[in-house]
Amino acid sequence: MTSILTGRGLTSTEPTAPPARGVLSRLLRRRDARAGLVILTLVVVAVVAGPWFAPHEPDAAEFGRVLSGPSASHWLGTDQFGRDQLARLLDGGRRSLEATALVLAISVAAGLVVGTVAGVAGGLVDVVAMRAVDLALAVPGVVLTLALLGALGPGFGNLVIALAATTWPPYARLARGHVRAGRDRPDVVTARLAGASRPRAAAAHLLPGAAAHVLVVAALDVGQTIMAITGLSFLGLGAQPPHAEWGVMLADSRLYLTEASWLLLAPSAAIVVVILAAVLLGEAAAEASDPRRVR
Amino acid sequence: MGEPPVIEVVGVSRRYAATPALLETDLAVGPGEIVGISGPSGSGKSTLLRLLAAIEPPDTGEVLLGGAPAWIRRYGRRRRRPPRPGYVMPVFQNPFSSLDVRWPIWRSLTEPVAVTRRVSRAERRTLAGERLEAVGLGGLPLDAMPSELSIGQCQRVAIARALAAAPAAVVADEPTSALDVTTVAGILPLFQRVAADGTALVLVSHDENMLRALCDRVHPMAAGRLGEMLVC
Repeated sequence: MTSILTGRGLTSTEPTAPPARGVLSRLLRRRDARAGLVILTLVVVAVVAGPWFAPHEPDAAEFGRVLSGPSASHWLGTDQFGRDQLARLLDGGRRSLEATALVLAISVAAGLVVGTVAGVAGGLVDVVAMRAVDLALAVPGVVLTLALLGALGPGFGNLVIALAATTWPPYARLARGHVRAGRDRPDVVTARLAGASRPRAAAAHLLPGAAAHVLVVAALDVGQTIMAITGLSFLGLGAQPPHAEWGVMLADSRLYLTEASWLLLAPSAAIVVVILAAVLLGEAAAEASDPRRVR
Repeated sequence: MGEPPVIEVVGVSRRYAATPALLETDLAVGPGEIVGISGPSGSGKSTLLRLLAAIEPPDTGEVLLGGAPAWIRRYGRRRRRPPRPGYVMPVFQNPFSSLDVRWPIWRSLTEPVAVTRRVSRAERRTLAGERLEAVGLGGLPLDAMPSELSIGQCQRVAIARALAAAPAAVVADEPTSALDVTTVAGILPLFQRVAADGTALVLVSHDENMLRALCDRVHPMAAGRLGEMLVC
């Protein structure tokens, strides 16, 4: 076949991404994916609905019950100000998961837009966008985040901005690669010859596939993002007192390790469980979306 | 030919890096004409087809669609300028990869119409049903996905999609090489019907016998050059 010799014939040997509904059904057939999904759903329901049912306010201090252990009225005990640890765990969890969702949503959207525009436009736009990505990737993410937080100041909103600003480049590169590789796909060429503009053909035929690939990678990054958010909050760069957040709760608890070690357990366990569930789901999504791994 | 050519290439050459794929080639195809191009791998057949469809510009020479240049130079870049959207439509070798795997067939079938004017979903589905009927797939569910079709059905859908643009010419690269003999026997009359309606057809194939049976003329190709025409 001439097309294989030249690599540019009317033939395409490129593997196309599997359709979304196939990926979803393959994903849900996997035990690890179901486990991850169930755990994440339970955690999300607990942190969203929990504060309405929790018998204590997360910021209500009860100085008569400082550092008291788990009891019937305070299932996870109280902290150094007598605040209910369960109420703070749920409130802090909502804040941690909200920030994770926000960071990933912003970085995925920015990565998809930059990558797709660069891939479709090509030429100078592509060169400029990809050199900006190279530049962002050349600096270690933590250093860049700390520098941005240094400039913006600590705070939960600034933490989200700083993390989103440092996590979008890999998504942009992935989306751009997908769009560039698919430009000569038969369905795209047909759409172009039928009269679709380059952006329209890319949006219709290439963007859904690029988004699916980027979302799978983002699913793998959920754990890392939670780690970054709680880690930076632990350092005092995220949520500020009196607001609860899992990283802040860990930072507070380390001062009372000897007299109230239970304070450390709940936020640590919450972080581990959510990251584990996110990794299970992310890995399963990556395998389910890979056409070479279809079973 | 009494009428002006639907598509014409004049002295076109194309090379990929250091490899010349097409050298000083001339070809004109009139309305309703079926032209076959045969030749071994690497002879330049697919490159010629890409130039005829104005998928890519030639290095030298001119591609004319409906008598007007297919490429214009604007802001230092060459831009495709067909007489109208869907003037030349392609049919690819691999029917599975030529349809969007995420789209039900009604959506692929009517994309050529939907990109040029606003069409309601109901209108698109009606049109898709008519297009399927025209290629002998009347019973096929409109919501079927490409993965649920046989390879022959996919190729018919791809042909129906190409015809949905009401093209002046259809270029097909090895349209039957992925199909079995029975399916090919169903596809060839379809091409004849398309040509009988006045659409110019350019078919590239290794199968010279098939081309001779179907085409008005066949040009053998070798080493990037078009050989003497064989009248069928």
